[in-house]
Amino acid sequence: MIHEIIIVGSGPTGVASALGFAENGIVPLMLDVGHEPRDIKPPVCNFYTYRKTRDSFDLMIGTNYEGLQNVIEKRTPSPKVSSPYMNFVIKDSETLTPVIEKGAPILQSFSAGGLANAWGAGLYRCMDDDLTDLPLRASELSSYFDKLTKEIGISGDDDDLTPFFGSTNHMLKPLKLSEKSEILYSKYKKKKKDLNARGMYMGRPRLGVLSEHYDDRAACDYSNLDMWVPHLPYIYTPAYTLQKLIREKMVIYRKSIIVTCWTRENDHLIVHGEDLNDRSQVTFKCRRLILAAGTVNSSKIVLNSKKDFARKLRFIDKTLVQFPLILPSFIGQKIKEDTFALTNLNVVFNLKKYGIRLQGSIIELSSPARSVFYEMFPFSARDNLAFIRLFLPSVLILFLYFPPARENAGYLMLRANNTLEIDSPPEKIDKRILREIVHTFIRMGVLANSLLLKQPTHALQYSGTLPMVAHPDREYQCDKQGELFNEPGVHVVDGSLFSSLPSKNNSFTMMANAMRIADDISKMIKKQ
Amino acid sequence: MLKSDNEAEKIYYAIFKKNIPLSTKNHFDKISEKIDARYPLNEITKYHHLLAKAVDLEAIEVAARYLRTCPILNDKFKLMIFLAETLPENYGVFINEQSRHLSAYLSLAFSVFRTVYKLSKGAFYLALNRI
Repeated sequence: MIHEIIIVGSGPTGVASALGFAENGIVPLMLDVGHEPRDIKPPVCNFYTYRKTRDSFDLMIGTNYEGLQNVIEKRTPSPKVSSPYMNFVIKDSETLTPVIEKGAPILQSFSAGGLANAWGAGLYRCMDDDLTDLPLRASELSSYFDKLTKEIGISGDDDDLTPFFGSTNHMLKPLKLSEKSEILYSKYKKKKKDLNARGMYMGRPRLGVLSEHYDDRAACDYSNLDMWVPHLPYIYTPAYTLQKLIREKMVIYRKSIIVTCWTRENDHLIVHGEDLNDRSQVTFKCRRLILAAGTVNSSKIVLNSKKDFARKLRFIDKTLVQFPLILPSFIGQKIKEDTFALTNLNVVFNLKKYGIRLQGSIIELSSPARSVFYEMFPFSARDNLAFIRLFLPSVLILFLYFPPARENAGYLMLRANNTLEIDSPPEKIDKRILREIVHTFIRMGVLANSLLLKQPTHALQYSGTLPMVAHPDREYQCDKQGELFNEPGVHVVDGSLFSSLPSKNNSFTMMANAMRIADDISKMIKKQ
Repeated sequence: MLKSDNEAEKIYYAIFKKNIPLSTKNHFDKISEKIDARYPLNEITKYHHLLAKAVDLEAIEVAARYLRTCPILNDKFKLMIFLAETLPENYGVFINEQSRHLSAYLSLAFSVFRTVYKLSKGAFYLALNRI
């Protein structure tokens, strides 16, 4: 049987493209490894109630000591994927796609729904000035943004950030702010004129987190389980749309398949892979192949198909700087058990003097284990615990994202032994910018100090290996439909296409773009 | 492999001033082996020597952290903190259950002075024992 469309991967872009095909009445075959959460009943009460009343070893550490990866291996993947129930997100990633990491650690997922099972659910519309290096205008994506907003259920507000985040069409009301965030937001509103003049804007985040009952999913219950329990009904994961598409027979889903490459035969493509159940080699035939396996794995499939073990593809990622923001009146305050533990507020720094726009997320610390902050304090063990208990309630963390500098790209290459080599060099951050941001918060009455900054890390938003350009004229470039140069019928729809990154999270834009490409391909198919 | 019989007990007591629950001790012992495997034998020997002789392990640990002389001890303390947090009996050690601003400021100020004392004591012990 020759399928019209085969999609590889079930992450945000795979599912968005499947949705695009489904809308046009085309039923694609989706190939995926598709790891799912363990079949164990996670807690249903508040995180703190749970911890007070029973041993939480199973929830926080796990029988295979998943929650202790930082201690045992000195490796720091995102704390969210280290927890035992969430560990399925990165399960087998080191064996299925071995990577020699020359720079920052590389995080991959082979779960149904992809890395988005552990995301912060920040969903922002890119505007024209965020898409400067792409042959794409924001207006071309707006109808897809609207459709996806309805599908996902995005909460947010029409506020000072609307000019940066775009339309509020179909948006749900914002989530309840934590007490600290509410105070911070009121400080901003009081000094807004002065802060805006300095290029700082603050507002509510756009999150795929339900503030009200929506599409048969319950609203956020502020249980603080966000870091610990997968598939909470109120945090969107592409796995929800995938389940719906499977149920409604709008996608044929084959799990436990890892795609390795494609070849050509007459007028169709043969997709080669391995069935992980019995390690047998399998093939599937299709007319068009949609690569949505994420930047790392889509690039690997492309390089492997071309048997190119020498080419270094340009690889970019954003840089993340973490700022503690301290509200001294909260020192010694009782823990607030019913707080939303992900992004409470967003800030945009439009620093014209430096020609840069930065976006930051202000995050509550109520969900992670307290132990992860143990090394943050420089005191003796018992005194560190006193600081964790009494000082930590006064801290919010600002995650500030820097777009990758054009000249600072790393590379991704495939070695002949099927191992990827990825170099992701650290970004050099202009300290004057950091000082200026610290001063802006101090003007708001928040304690911040550049000495308290953690070392910049990578934001895990890999991109740029197979760039989308208006007129592709060389290998590994894609056209506006994501079609690879000299590879008719092979389309890329994930982050690989984005040759530059704005400081805002562009997952939502990648999804809208994948849906646009699926829509365009469907129209072409209908014409034929 | 070199091993102290009461490694877990000593570290737990140094941090929490109480006896270690059996389940935590068992987990600690299992993971300890994995941590030990990361270090050369001379580091492990030094660590067990400290564990056997030192009276104030908390002081040694903070000094070792600043002087970077015994990273294995720092890792073991960190491990114990992670394990201990999962116990409901330690809930109040990690989580502030009552709002108390003035006493919090006083406690934190006391903690700073206490750390200075512990650091000096630990550094003196390490210097005395040429570690």
